[in-house]
Amino acid sequence: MNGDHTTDNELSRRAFLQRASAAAVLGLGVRDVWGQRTDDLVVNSFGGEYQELFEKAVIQPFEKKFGVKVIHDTTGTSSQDYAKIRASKGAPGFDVAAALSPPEVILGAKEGLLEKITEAEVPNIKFTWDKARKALPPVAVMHTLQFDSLLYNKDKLDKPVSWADYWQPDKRYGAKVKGHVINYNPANLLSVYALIHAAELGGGGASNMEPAWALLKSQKPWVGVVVTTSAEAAPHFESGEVWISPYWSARAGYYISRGIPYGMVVPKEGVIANIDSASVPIGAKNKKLAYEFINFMLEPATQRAWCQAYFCSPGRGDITDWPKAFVESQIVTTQQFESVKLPDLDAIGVNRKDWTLRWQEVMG
Amino acid sequence: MRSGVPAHWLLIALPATVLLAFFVLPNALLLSASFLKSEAQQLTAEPTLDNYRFLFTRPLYLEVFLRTFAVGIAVGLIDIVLGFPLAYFLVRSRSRFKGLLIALSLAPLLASVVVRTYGWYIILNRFGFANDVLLNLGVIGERIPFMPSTGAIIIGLAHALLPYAVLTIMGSLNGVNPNLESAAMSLGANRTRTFFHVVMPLCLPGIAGGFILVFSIAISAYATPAILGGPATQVAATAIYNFIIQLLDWSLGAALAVILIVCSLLLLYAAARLGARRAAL
Amino acid sequence: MNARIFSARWRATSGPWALLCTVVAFVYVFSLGPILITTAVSFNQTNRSFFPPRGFSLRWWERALTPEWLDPLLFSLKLGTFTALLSTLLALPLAFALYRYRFRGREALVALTLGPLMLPTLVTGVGLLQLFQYVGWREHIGFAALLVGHVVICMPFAVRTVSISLQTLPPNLELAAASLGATPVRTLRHIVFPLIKSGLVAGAVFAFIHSFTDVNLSIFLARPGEVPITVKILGFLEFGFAPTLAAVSVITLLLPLILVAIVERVSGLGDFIYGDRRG
Repeated sequence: MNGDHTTDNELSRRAFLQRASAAAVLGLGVRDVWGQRTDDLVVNSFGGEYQELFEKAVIQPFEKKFGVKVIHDTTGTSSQDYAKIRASKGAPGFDVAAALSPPEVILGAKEGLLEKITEAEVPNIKFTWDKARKALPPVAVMHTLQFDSLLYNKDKLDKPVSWADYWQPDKRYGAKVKGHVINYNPANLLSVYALIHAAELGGGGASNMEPAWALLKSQKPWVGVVVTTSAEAAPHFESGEVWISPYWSARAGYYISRGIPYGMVVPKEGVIANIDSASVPIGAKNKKLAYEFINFMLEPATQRAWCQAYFCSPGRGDITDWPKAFVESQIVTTQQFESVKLPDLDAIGVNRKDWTLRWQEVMG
Repeated sequence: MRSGVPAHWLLIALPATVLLAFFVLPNALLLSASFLKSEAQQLTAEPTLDNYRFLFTRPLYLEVFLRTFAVGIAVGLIDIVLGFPLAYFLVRSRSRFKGLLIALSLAPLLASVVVRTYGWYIILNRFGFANDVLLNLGVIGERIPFMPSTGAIIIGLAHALLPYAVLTIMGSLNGVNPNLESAAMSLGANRTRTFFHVVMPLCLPGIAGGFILVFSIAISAYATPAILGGPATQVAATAIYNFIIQLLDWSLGAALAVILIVCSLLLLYAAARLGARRAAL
Repeated sequence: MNARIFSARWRATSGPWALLCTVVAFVYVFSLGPILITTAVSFNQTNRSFFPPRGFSLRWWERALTPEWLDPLLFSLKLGTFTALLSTLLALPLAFALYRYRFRGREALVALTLGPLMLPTLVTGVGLLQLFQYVGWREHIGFAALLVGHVVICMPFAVRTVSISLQTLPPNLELAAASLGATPVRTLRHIVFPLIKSGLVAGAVFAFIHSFTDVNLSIFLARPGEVPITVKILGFLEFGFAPTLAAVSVITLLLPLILVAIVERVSGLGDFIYGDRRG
């Protein structure tokens, strides 16, 4: 008989190994239990290529100027970040929430989870676009603008001129476009904007979305791809599968600069602005530095660096000497700003759930 | 048998407390929101059954649950059918590369969401690999959009969860004495009979256990269904995510979660009742 | 007859074994296909994701091997190891009690151990974040909270695999040992424990892997700047897909596999792998 395989040797070898590795890991683990130092600032925004650009244009100059360390937290979409803020009652672990979109900011104001910010804390507020600032509750400071442009595959399609070219692609482009149109879940603000354009095409608007649902239904047979986040759309652009899509202007500009064969257009009916803002959760550890950071984002030098890197429009209208190409495709002058529509954020907040459910019923 | 505190209480005290304090309690707190009303994404303190009423009266959500459980069962079955031969091979193999093969079989478990996003997209999209192959072989006439679809979700989940089935079955296959197989064969049974009438019944706990494990994970899976599915093919986890994280409507999200866990437990209870002695646990 | 001769006999009847090998090969192709595709992308020349890759470059690998990615990777490995150890430690008495005793509330306990598997982890994640905030444990968001959350969602694996091993034990084993004069403790230590080792190891491996690959719970319980690798990848992915991610993905695949292989080699899991006991 072979006898008991589990000799004492084996058992003790295993036990030793377990204890040794536990001790080694414990040693490493102790360091992690240490908390955030109060002179560190934690800024939450987006990851990927955004992270690199943001760090170069904003974070590193800030660190140099103030002599502090910034921890860049790149996890989470805007709604994921807000879910975290809500679950932790305003103490999500970051001091600056630079990745919230207007709907979350409004919720943050209503639920009292974001700090009210005035010129006292962030002096540069006084330079921001007046109307945009008023569209947001006082818990957010706008720093840049984007809009929902129309992205199209230059190799496959002629330049679109109207939102109808997206919502009724067959009318403009015929049968070849079938399967090459993309649609987004209204959990993405981009989709909400596109639907509002559809409603307007049919004579309605944010307060009357019925025409939008009719257009959605008629567009459905032409749609080849349905995604939720803008990130999910990227592989479909890379592969050339999607030929026409609404897309945030900054991100579109960035991808185009990376070489995808697409063009970006402002349709004749106009576009709706998306206001990028920064907020401070009420439970943030380092509020003083958070306000400094937000103020720094609005400095002319920072605005110049960041907007040109990421293809977004500045949050203040008093900066001049932009390159010509930049002025043509972005919102820089007061005149350009007036031509852009501002979103009815209250209506969106109240109705978004119903719109999403309606959309699911049509697309499902 | 023993006096004083029953032995089983001592044994379960610590683990049960951990589960109660850190699983039941936080979820009870969160899921109680299912009985509160939500207005414009904000949670109020108004008690209501409207959330449940809403979900039960919309066919969309009935479909979501049916799909969730259908996917779970399909993935469970596929994985034990594919997993059993692999488990048998790994346990009985004498190859030098056995360790490597076992490690490789774990690979899908570790493959991150990136692989699922990109790898499966390349294979399954309308202009992708699978379509190219099938078109060239003449199996299909025109390109089929394999994803997003429930089928793609099933394939993706079966791929990701296969190692769970394999390792679970291996665990119980290890306990099957190879001499039993030799004995059966020396008594005149051929390999097939031995396989199906001797080996399989003996490791039924492992097979059933593998199925239950894969099923449970499949019904709560989020990433794969989110990536390979779409709004027409929602499952419970993606619907819950949609409400809790994207729409920030915690009432409806919580109600969905409650329905999911109640249905799952009922299903498993029914299955256990039906196959009480055979099912593991 | 011992196992070696037995398998040789199987092998000699080459038909079934060959068929088995073919099926197995197909399963492996299915398993590894998508992974190989992503690996190929990581060698892309340009910053865009092409498959088949155009050009060959190692620069995404250079990027992947920087502290930015290695730190979260090590964090995840550490978290996974602790989770595996704690989960198995807690699972063992629980599985044993469920196997050995019939008591009131046993079914409820079974449901309790299956619960964390069946509920999407994001729910538990949000719930735990709320709970920690509620009881004033905000400071512990980070490694501690992650460990708690991971143990909760990984323990069920260990409980299940140990239970299955226990179920496969020959009945009356303990009785036999007792009748030969062994005390209960000796029986446990020298008879039962070695036989369920494979269940314990499988449970630990599952727990480790589940912890290592979890993202939805981890998003909520991680401290910024100190995130598990999955969360970091997700953050990057949210903003587009680049070959760097593909390279990181391959590393996150290989490292735990190597770890598991080392553990297997060093701590004598021969029983588990080679299964040639019970002569």
